[in-house]
Amino acid sequence: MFMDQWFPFFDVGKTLQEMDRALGHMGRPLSLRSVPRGTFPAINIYQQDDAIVLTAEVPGLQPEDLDLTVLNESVTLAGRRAETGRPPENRFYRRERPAGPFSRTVTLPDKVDPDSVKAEYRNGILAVHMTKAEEAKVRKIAIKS
Amino acid sequence: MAVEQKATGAQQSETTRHDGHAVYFQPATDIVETADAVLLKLDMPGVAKENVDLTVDKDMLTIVGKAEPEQGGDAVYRETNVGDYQRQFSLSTDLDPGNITATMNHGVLTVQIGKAERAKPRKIRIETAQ
Repeated sequence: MFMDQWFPFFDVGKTLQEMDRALGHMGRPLSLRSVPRGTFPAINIYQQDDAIVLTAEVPGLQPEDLDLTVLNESVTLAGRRAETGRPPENRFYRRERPAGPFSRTVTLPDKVDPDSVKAEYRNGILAVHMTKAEEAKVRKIAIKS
Repeated sequence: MAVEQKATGAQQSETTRHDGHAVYFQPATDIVETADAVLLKLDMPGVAKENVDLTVDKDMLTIVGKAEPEQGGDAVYRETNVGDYQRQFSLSTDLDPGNITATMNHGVLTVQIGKAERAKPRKIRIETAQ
């Protein structure tokens, strides 16, 4: 069975995507909370007037195992997720959780101030709060009569 | 197979109506068998320890996790949906439903289900024939 062999997780993701498609045709789609399966971690980006918040779903890691870099408009999140215990002493029945090293870079909608970055890891979600760079902030211009 | 996932399309939609939530999502799960237990690991990011609910009804294990909604402003890019998690597993008779323990760690729920005494591997001592 393919579950017994080690795959880089994106291959498993591809297989699962195909399974999803096949099952979808049978009227029983497997729904996951994160949308493009195979992309790890899943990322959301929120915008406020003068700040940008990025959240990433990275369950099961220790904060010190996460590597976060912010440069101008790009954020890179890298790390490694441990695998569930390996055979031969353990036998797998199901293996859906992505494991192994990962790295993802996303582009933010605006430039941010690298000194303003605050990151918090809670319940498996990393939330990165960044203030927009001065030149990217919304400015209100007073109109003279 | 000791633990099997049950297809519960109809049941899930009923639960959904009850709770007033739009959708339940299936957490990605690893199932591993060790010598005296079966381990389930479920990814449930966004769920705090106190918001996990495990119930065993006869041979059916139901895991529900309520996720706190993310608050960050206007979403400009989304890869995850908003919603809670639910997944059901049917336990084989080789497992002991009275011996289930669970721990939650950084969004990963680990459920340990003990094997029934008769299903555990036994070492048989060989005695010399007289």
